[in-house]
Amino acid sequence: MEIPTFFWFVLSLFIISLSLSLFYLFLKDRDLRKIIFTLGLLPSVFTFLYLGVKYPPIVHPENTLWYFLFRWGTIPVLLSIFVILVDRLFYRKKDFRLPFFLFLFFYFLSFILVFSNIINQIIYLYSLQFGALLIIILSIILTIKVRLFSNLLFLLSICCFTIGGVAINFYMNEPEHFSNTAFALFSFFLGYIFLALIFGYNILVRDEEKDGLGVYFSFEKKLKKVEEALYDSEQRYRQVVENLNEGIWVLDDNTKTTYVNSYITQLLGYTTNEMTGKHLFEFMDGNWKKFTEEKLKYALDDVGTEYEFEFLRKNNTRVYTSVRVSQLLDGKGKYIGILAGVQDISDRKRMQSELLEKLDKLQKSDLATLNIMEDLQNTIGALTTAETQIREKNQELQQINNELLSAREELTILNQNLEKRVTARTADVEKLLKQKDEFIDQLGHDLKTPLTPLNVLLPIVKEREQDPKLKEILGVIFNNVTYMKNLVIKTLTLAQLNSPNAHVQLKDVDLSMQIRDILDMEKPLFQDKNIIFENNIPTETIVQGDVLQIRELFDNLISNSVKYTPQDEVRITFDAKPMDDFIVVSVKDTGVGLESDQIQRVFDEFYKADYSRHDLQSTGLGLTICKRIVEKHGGRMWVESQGKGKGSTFFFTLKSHIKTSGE
Amino acid sequence: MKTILVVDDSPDVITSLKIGLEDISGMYKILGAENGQKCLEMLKNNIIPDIIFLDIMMPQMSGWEVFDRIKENPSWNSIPIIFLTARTDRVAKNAGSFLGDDYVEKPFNIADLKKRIENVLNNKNTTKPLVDKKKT
Repeated sequence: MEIPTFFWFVLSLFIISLSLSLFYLFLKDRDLRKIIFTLGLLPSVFTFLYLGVKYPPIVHPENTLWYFLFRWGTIPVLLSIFVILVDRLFYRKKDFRLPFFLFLFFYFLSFILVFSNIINQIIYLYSLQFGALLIIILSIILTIKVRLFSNLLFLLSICCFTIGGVAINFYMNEPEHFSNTAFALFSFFLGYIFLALIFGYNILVRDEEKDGLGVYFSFEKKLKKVEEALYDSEQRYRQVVENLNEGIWVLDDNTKTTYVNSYITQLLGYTTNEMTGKHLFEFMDGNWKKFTEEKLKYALDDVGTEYEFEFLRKNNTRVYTSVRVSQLLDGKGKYIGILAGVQDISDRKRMQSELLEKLDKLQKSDLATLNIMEDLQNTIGALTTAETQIREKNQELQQINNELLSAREELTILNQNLEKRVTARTADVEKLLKQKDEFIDQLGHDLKTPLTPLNVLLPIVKEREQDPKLKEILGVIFNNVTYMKNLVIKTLTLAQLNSPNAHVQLKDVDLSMQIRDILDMEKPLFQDKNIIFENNIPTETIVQGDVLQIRELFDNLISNSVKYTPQDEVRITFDAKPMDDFIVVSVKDTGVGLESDQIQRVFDEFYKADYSRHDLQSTGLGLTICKRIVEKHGGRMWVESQGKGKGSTFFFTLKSHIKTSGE
Repeated sequence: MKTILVVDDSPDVITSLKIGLEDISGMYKILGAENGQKCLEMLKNNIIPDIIFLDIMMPQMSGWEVFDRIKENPSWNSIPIIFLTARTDRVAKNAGSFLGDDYVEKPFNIADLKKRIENVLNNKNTTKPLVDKKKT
């Protein structure tokens, strides 16, 4: 056996073991990159075996299977290296299936192309050389970009393969020169040793973190780990930012939204997707846009400046915020956007305006609180100037609120006291009124008993007395006793009418009949005057009333008319007309009449029309009693008179009998 | 001659009635009792008058109570009773007119009183009503 043949066989074995090692690696981590190498390196065995078997080489070989395998065997190597380089340089994705299938496609395409013998020797050689050159260039770029020792080794191994390929070409043309053979063998050995160093290290040394010979494949893992770590840390920061109790709004250099956290989306009512890419101005309206434009100019120079903005929500409501702006710079200090911290201050604003409103109300409503108001207003003034110190302001607001509350409490207490005092005073008054009524009642009754003997005995004495002078004196005494008696009786009647406990007992009363009864009874009392009664009240005029009180009412009216008619002839006319639910009763006399000022006072207690206090006929209570009785019945009483000497007409209303009430 | 028993805590009222009705007219004999107990004692002693004048407001025993005692006793309950009262309220008026045979408001005058006495006596003679409208 020739020496070169032996070495070609050794090289083949070496390649087979290297391929199997890579296949083993593939089985371990299922990384398709490794199977690419396995598939790429194995066909080169055919090339080397051919070179070994056909030694010395046939210059113009016949188209045998061996020859085609020899020619094809070098292509997969170049293809696999190319794919890996492109992946390392440009693709760098975890999922390697697409490059792998492309690799397989070209793998079999090249196989078909070679075996169909379409391409001639020259095109084949040029393609190989072009491919080798491309790979070298890519490898150089990779080595420069990622300065790893493994990449350098990779470059070296590719260089060796290229040189080996060129050497084989020489050797094929001039097989008689042994140096060509040796050079080719040497180059290939060296190239595969470099490759083996890269891959072998990965199998033998497990330390994947180290930048060593085995870093080529481990680099991918490392990258993956770094990526994961980055991802984790980003996730962590994202979580922190998302859950911040402050809005984070990141804008790019065109003031378009690149990131917002959930605080912002919740505040404005948009989703993250709706906001991303939108210009900041889309979240505010006219005036605020101008304001913001102005501020943005300064924001680029300032760091950490704070502004108050009003944003427009999705539902078109407004929200007042405090915004802290800082610029974002990239690693080289270039401006790439704005980072804004947003705080919702609408509550604060609202509190402020509510407070002002409350103050305004208080100021309007109560003069008593004016002093407090002024104090408060001063405090408010101080507040508005201290806008920047939020915490302080909030505290002050709280304080003012407390002051307000205590002021209000004071007011409430004052009010309560006032109410208490009013209630107490009312009770006092009521108590006094009750005492007055009780006193009058007691006094009246106490006076009645001693008046009885006087009333009984004086007429007897007067009758028996023969002396006319004494008789006259006794007459005067008796008149006074009678006056006193009347006064007592009327006062008691009035006291009872005034008492809230006295209720009228309503029954059907036939007015016409009552008048007739009264007239029959009263006639003897007015014997010294010629009294003409005219009763125009229609029969069966039924009113609802208390019989005793209605009699009292007519009694008083009649005696009043008789008293205030100086002439001997008195004409009293009774009449009644229905009006709605009431009957209007009129009692007209031909007496002295009333002046307009008297009309107003005639119903007052103890008022006497002629001011003659010595008139023993009048107690000054009769008409008061009348009015009180009518009022107790739910009616109204008034008087009309044409003037002095023209008589007067008293009117009063009483509820008419309602037939439907079932009586 | 008819006998009238006046029950009143004011002796002056009794005296004036004595003068007015007994001395002047001479038609009636007036007996006086200054309180309820005395009135009942007299009745127990078989002094039965034709009419009793009964004051309502009296100390210790009120006119109502005296009235009840008289009406409880079958041998007395036909005696007509006229209330003498200083009260003007509805209770007194109603009680006076419905419970008793009549009522007279103080201060009264003799003429009016005489008329009422006549009325009561006439009614008693003609109808002799058993006054038992008492309501507890």
